[in-house]
Amino acid sequence: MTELFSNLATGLSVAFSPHNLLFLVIGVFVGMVVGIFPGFGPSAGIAILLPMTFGLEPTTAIIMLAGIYYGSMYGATITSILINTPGEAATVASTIDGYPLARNGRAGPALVMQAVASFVGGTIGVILICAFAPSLSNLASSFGPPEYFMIIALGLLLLTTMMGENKLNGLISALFGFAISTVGVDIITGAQRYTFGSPELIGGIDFVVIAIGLFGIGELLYCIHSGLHREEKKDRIKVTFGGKGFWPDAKDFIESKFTLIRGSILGFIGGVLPGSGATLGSIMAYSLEKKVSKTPEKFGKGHMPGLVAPEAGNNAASAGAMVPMLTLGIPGSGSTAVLLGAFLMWGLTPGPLFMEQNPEFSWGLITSMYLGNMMLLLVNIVAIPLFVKLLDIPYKLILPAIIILCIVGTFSLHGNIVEVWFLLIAGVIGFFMKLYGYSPAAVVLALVLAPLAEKTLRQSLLLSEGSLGFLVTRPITLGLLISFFIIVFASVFFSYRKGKNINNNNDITPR
Amino acid sequence: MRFWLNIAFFVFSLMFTIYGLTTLKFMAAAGRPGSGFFPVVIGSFLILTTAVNVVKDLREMKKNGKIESSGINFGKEILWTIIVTIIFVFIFKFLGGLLSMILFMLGILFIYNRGKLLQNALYSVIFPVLMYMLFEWLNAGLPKGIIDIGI
Repeated sequence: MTELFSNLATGLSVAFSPHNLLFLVIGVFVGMVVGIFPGFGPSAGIAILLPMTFGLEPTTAIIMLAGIYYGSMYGATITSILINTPGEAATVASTIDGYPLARNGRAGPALVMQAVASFVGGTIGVILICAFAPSLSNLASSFGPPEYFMIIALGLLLLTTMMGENKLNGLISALFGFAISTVGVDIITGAQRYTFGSPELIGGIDFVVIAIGLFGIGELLYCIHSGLHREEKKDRIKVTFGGKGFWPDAKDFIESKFTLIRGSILGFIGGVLPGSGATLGSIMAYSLEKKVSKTPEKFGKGHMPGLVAPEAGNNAASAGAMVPMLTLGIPGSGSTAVLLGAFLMWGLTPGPLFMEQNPEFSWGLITSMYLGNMMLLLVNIVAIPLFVKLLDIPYKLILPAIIILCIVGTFSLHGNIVEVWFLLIAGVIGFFMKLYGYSPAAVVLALVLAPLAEKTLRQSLLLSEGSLGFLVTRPITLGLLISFFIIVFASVFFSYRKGKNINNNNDITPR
Repeated sequence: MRFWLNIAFFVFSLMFTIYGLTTLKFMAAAGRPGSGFFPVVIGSFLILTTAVNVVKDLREMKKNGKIESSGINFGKEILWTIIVTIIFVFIFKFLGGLLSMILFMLGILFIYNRGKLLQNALYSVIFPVLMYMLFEWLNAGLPKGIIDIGI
């Protein structure tokens, strides 16, 4: 306990420096904007703005990027509530009750309560990081290459099985990420792979370029495909700020007091699980709330706990996703994969010893999340009118700005125009991937994890003299392998049952 | 279109694996996994999985005579956006960061925001100038181009 407080004190001294506070404010503001604009989720936001942070200290840069990450969760809910369009997948569940609340004339209380729920979720999430991250670090310090390899395999499997409709396409996307990572010099033998004699390819293809291409340009083309550029002004519900009807009443708080805690804990668990992230965390929190509620019939019609649960859930999940990233070096989502990539670019390799060896950095980041959540609560209540105004900017004016940020940001990485061409190619491929059910997030996640996956697989094979026996001879690896097969079988079983149900329904449909 | 994307992915997987097998060592000395081990394993899985998609498409085509897949909406706008962006990248080093950004903005806004000349002109100058100043402040080293109008 004493150690925890001393770590937090170290973190506070880092996060409270004026320089870091300034960039934290910039980060959370940018995050809010990123969340509000359609087709510009946290993954794209972090990837596109990453090159701009190169001139900063690593701690400052990561504090700012993390601010964008969790700030976007706050911003994305504003669109869920006011225009019935989630700004981010993690706020889909918030739309179910958020929009009806606004339609019933309670937009103000909904906006304030989402900020309160996000704050509580984020804060409980950070408290849980403090409680669990050091223990997980200790446990992970006994892991060898076989355990790491299996954790990566399990994480990618979870990502592909939880991504929804087409699991095969998710798997193919992850394999493409692995394939792209093999370009360049082999880390163990020094041999060149897939460079075709080109000096530009010897260093490999930078993951930032692919991430900006897939999340930035690819998503932008998809937004044009969806017709966002044709919308002049969004049909949003008007909010009167500051008046009596703007604030939530006592009943809202009483109804939501346990919801806040349940949603936060469940969301945090969802966030810790690799591959699930904030989207699953928020949906799980909403479903649980509806199940335990004495008035489930009110859900979907503008019931405050129906908004509070997913909001607490998605923000706690954002904090939860930091746990596997900091302690194992394994991100659980596209956004945390980009964040991990940023760590690696600054020569910081998260893993079991990371928090012990870099206390100022890791605890500075964790405490900055406390401060960031406080700022976001204030910003959301005081500056909501400003952010709501942003909803009136038509997408056709945002579009060229995003492309410029992507191109100039990519060029500024290494001053190499070839990388800008890679960005465009990745963008066009990313658009088609999204259009036909592939997962750009799985590509980026696999691309970031591939060097570690390859290294640990080859080391494990060396240790076991070329045999795959390492998978069953070590207890943790065996446990992970069993979990792997359980997930595979469960996924196949549920897909089969779903297909059978659809067939049965088709059979009984009167002709 | 989905069919052709799946075919392209399958062909890529095939070429990726064959190239890996022919140019890289699968196993190094003393039975150690070589530089080609990981790419060939990944490539083999890629061939298998992308082939499943192609076979599924072929079966659907045989059964229904066509493949049900969503078409591209606003294809013309998407194509023009890509073309203008390609031109932007081509002129980026030649004309320099600032000028090429201004021309790109004008080009894109001509497609999407026609008829609002003053708004487009102002936006096309103000945003690139701000971006240029920001990236200069960050020492990003944007190209000056043949007409150096650095601020």
